[in-house]
Amino acid sequence: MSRKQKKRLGTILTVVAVIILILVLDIGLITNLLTAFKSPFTISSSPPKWIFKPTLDNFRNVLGKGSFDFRLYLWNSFVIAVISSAIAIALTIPAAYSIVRYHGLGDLILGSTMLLRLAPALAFAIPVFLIFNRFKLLDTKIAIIFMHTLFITPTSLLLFIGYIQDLPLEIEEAAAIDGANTLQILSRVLIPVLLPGIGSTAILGFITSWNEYLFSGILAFKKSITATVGTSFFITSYAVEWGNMAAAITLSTIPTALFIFIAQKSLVKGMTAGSVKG
Amino acid sequence: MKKVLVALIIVAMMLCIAPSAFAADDMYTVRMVYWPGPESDAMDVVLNYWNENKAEEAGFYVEQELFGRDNIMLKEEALMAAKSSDVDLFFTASRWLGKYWMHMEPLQPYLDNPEINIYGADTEGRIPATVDGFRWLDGTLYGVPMDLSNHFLYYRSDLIDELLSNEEWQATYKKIAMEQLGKELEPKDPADWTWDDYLAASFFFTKAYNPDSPTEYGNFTHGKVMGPTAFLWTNCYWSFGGDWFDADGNVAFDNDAARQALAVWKTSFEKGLTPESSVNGEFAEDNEAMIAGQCAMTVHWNAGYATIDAEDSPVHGKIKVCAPPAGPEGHFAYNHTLGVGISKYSEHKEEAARWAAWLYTDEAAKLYAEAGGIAPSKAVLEEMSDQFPVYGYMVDVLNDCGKNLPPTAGIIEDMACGLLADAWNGVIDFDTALSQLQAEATEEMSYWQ
Amino acid sequence: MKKKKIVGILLLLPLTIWLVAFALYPILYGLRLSLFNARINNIDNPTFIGLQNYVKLFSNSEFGQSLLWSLKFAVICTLIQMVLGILIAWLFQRSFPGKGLATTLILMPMVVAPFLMGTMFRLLFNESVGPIAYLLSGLTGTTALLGMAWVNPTIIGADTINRMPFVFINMYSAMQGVPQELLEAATMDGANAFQKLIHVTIPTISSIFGITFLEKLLQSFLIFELIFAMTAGGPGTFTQSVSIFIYRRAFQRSDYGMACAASFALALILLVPSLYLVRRNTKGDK
Repeated sequence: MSRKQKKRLGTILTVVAVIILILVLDIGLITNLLTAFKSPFTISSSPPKWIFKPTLDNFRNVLGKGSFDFRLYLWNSFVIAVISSAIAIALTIPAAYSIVRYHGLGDLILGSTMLLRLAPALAFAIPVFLIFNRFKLLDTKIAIIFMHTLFITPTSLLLFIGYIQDLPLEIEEAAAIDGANTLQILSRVLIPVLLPGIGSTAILGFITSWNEYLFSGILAFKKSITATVGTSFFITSYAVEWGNMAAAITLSTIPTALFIFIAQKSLVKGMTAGSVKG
Repeated sequence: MKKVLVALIIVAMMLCIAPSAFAADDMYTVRMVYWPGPESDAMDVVLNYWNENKAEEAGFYVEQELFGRDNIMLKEEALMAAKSSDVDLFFTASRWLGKYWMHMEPLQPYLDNPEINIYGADTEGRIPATVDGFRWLDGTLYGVPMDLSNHFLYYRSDLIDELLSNEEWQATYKKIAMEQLGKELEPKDPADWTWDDYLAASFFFTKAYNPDSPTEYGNFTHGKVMGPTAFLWTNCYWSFGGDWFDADGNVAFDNDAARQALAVWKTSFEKGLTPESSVNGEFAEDNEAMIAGQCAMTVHWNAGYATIDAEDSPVHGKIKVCAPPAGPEGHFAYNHTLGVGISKYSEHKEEAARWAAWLYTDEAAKLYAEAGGIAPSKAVLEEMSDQFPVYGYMVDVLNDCGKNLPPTAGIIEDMACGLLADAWNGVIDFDTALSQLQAEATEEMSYWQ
Repeated sequence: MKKKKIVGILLLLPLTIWLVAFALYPILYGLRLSLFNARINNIDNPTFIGLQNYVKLFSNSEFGQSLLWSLKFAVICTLIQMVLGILIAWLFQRSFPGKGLATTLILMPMVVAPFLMGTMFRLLFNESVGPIAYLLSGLTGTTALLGMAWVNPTIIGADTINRMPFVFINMYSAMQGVPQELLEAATMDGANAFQKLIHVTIPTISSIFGITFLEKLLQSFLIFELIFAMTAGGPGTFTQSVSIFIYRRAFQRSDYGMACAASFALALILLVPSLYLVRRNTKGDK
């Protein structure tokens, strides 16, 4: 086998492996997608049907059901998730840099952020509600953004500590010799090399916010309901409206998938930056 | 180029999903917390009717605020703790009133005030037990019962008919009953069943004990750790003479009635009379199993009927309901009511009260029932039983043997379902579970007196 | 030296302000409440009971059991997911057509809230009608995946599908930063692909590896929504994670004093080992 053939075989094997992986990992989403196109009694047929006459009823219900405004919920989720993860990243990169390179006070902040991460957030439901009630911020996106930022912060702080730690110190030292100050080092040297990390942290932050259920639900009434909370309305007092819920989940994966697809590009771009500088 | 395209798609998507602005109006809008699902769909119809036809006369609109089943009460509790005036009416269930009455406004004075109650509505139209469900122990009325639920024994009438006419089946039935329960039992009409008959029939319709059984399992028993599961068991507990509280209002679980009732439940799980995964099953799982034709009977909520016996259901026309089986004390059918009450912290109590008064009218009850909600008005339910046969069955069963839990039951609901589930799943033995439940529930109640 | 210190503090300032503004009050409020009997009926006027909530918590045998369950669950899930995540990230170091799409699809299981996915899993793993249950029945021999015998593996599997992508994306983006020269040098030395992974790649990304490990461990330890939706901790208390214990013990009983006490107790129990792991990482060989 020539080298070229070998390489091609390797690529084919990789693609096959990746396809199998995707099928296994996304099994929940795939079966959920099928469910979204099933009528109630197709859903309840035993054994489950794989081939059936698809129906769009579920999507129609989700998009046009009385006071249920799923488009608004999707929009809210999107805005909240983008802003929350952006704020969290802006807050944690300098903090992580300080903790890794300067120690000192950083340990205290690290400790308290970790505390935030470790206590089940549920315990703060009442006091958080009290605060936002006092400032008349209930049912606003701002309140939810504040909370989501808090939830994203601990993980992204830790991750940036990890990423910065793994960077070779020489890059910064070279820049410092050239007379760059800390801010310049951060923005001109560090951020480009950190790009893959920023990309993945942004994706994770976005997902954390998009998926957050409890606080979004408690703080929202009508105007600022998120897609996750809106979807939970299909879990009713007794039954679960499976078809509608599957359709709502399917619809809400589309914007997130697009966001991830775009954000993950930075993962690859960072590689070139990293290999040049490293 | 590709990037620009993707960006364009995103912008286009955002524009599509961007919300349209809401129209503003001068009139106040009363806000009511309500439970999403069939209840809120029905309420939507009532609200639309109100906002179009009644709002002007009354002077305000009404809207509902929804939240998913599992956290709706947490959200309400946050509103209560914050003394928030954001909502004017709270959602509650009759069994939860004991937890929340102190945050709600007594309703009777408003109903008695003709300036507020311009409809002359009174509580007479509702089934008395459901109105009483919204009274605290001292008799004060706190809400409007809106949606009634109860338990039935569901059974596959085609299979039971066969059993009652096929001699070969009857012989097998007697043999299995003798083998498994050590009792001489004859096949009977499910309306006359005791829990022994229920178990015997369950054995008979389980393939593992009767290879000729048309169904895989005899029954579906709800086992998930959640309050409603404990309520289903309560039918059995009552029929053996027990109750959650004794006559003096003290917790009463550590008794023989509880052991006997637990034994019935445990038999189903331990002997595999119910699907294996029903230990984590509840309403939805029960529906799926019945529709799939896997089980011959189940003690289940009335709300399941519409789905299980729907036109296009494979078991349509083969499902009948009656009161849950009897014990030494006879038949009992659990029921409870969901409803709304005025928030103590509302700044528009009079409007909220006018709305609540209107909800008590038969006009509102009928609108609600026509939209699929089960308004607990006897007249409306009976009138509509042609259209929705299950309404008629509900009235019958509740007349015969309806019983509800007191408003304090919600306080110990969670510990009851946890320990009872541990007991019937065999995680811990009956004595430990019941004595622990007795002690914990008694202590918990002491904080709520 | 002094200037350096000031810069360090200035960099911390935005995060500190944010934490003080939004986290301090809830935490203090919660701490205070944990010393009170504060249920929804007396939340206006709670009674001070000192450390009684904490005493009650630690004398409850269910608390210990649920801690143990969570620990076992966390260790098993973390091991499975770290190994899988690293292997997949490693596979993705090769270039192949459609990689961007494939990366997105691998991450997709994460984009559905665990609470919603857990609820859907009730249908998808349903004994009578569940498509996944039927697909797996060839392996398991039964469709009763939520029955007593299979419920633990099912939850572990569901969590792995749901949270493994977290490991993958961290490892993948960290591996992008590994200098090509290092890997080429190892190839020269005759190392095969797997040896390069163990001896070059992982040591180079050791910090992010450690952080991911810690985060994953905590995520699994504190798991709530997925299990709550699928089994609510049942049958009985069979799959009761510590977060579910707290939810049931405190929130479903509207006992806010206990809710806060349990949350702080748990946070403190976890804080020491977590900080140790972070420190070990940050003060490593660099």
